[in-house]
Amino acid sequence: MNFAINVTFVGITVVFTSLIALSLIVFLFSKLLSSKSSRVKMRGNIDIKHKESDVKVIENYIMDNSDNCNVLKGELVAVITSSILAGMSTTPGCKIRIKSFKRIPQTSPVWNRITRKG
Amino acid sequence: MFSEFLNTVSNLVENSGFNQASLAQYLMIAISCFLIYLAIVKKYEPLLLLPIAFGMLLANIPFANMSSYDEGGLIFYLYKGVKLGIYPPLIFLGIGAMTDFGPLIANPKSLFLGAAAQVGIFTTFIGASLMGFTPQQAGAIGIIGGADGPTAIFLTSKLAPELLGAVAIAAYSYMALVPVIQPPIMKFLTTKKEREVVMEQLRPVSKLERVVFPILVTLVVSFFIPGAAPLVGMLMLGNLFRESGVVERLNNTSKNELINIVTIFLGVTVGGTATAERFLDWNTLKIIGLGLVAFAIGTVFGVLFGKIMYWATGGKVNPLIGSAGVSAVPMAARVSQKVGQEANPNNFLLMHAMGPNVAGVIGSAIAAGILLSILG
Repeated sequence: MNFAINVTFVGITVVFTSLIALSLIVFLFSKLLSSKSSRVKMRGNIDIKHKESDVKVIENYIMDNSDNCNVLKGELVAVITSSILAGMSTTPGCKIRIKSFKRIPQTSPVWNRITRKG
Repeated sequence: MFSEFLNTVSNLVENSGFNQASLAQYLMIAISCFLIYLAIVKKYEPLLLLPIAFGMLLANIPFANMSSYDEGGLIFYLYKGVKLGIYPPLIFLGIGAMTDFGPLIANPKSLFLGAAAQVGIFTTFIGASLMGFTPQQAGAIGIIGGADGPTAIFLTSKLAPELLGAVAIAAYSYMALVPVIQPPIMKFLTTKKEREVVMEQLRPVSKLERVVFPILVTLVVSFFIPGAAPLVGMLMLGNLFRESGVVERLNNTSKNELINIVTIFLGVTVGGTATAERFLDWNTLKIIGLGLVAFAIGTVFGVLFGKIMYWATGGKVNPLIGSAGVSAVPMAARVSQKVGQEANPNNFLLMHAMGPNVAGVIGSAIAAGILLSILG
């Protein structure tokens, strides 16, 4: 019985200690990685600025003047907006206004991309 | 000529399974058919309960040589993967490839709730010891409270392989019964005001955090408890496959073909250990009872710790997410969501509860590593 109590006490202590240590390390690491400013960078070089109001304005860079750029239609804007909302896991009440989009050329060589796709 | 014919037929009948089967084996076959019914009709964890149940059926056919202990049989050789501790880590590889640790990274305090829910394992260890089980058997029974099938099988195969069939069936049955076992405990321990708490939106998690997290967890946990390294290491390897984004083929294989193949082998061979002489024992009933106690205590401590966090944060944490610290992913998180919505229909706790839920997977693997280190 003493042995069982000892194992219980040691086990619970070690589980808590290791998970508390892990949570502290994850927390510190996340703090280290996140930016101190209120700007959050997403993929595709889109910046999100937080304002006092609940409206988040997503701005991006000047449109590329390439001949291959298609004119963005309303439906395409709606699809991209909903994808960004889903990716940001925002609540339905959060408002986002997308002002413009930019096609970013691929920087990785084609052979690297093919390898990753398998 | 005719008499020779009769003699031959008579020998065949005497040596057939119908003549040689004992009442216990018929009873085991009936139990396995009942488990097959639960798996197919009631959908109780069918991915593992169905192969386990069928393995049990095969193991109790006389002279079929299909139990995990019958040397030279198919199941005997496949069982080596369980005995050597190979299958459960491979299943964890697939689980890691399917798991999103984002909610946990966004709210690392979830790990506290994952730790609290593992108290059920150790308190049941005491209960099992008091009921006359050896320390190794008590450890194998206690791990049922972790609500993690591969972890339970991994630890039991190392500490008390004679109990493998009973522990596996208890573990997977109770995992399927989480929506029945947990809600009354959650409602009993919380007030309506606490259940109505709406939690703040989780922050977005960057790709770098998602990639570094599995490496960090592997190193921290394995240095603390080396015995947990096979399970936690493979879990995090699978997650790294998923989050790195550069090994899509390996990721797809881990979460599809590999986990499916290993699940079949694991299930059938674990079921193959449930022979009549080993399963039909008063100890099996004790294991089933203690498994329920382990689950319940894990839920109790998870919710109680959730209440502590509710008070400590001034009402920002909904205590219901504490029950998701048992590692029945994602069932326990869904139960938190459902009970939360009953109190407040506009409350969406699912993603908040996923944090403790996946933390529980890590916590139960750590608990298994500790028990293995002390009792192995």
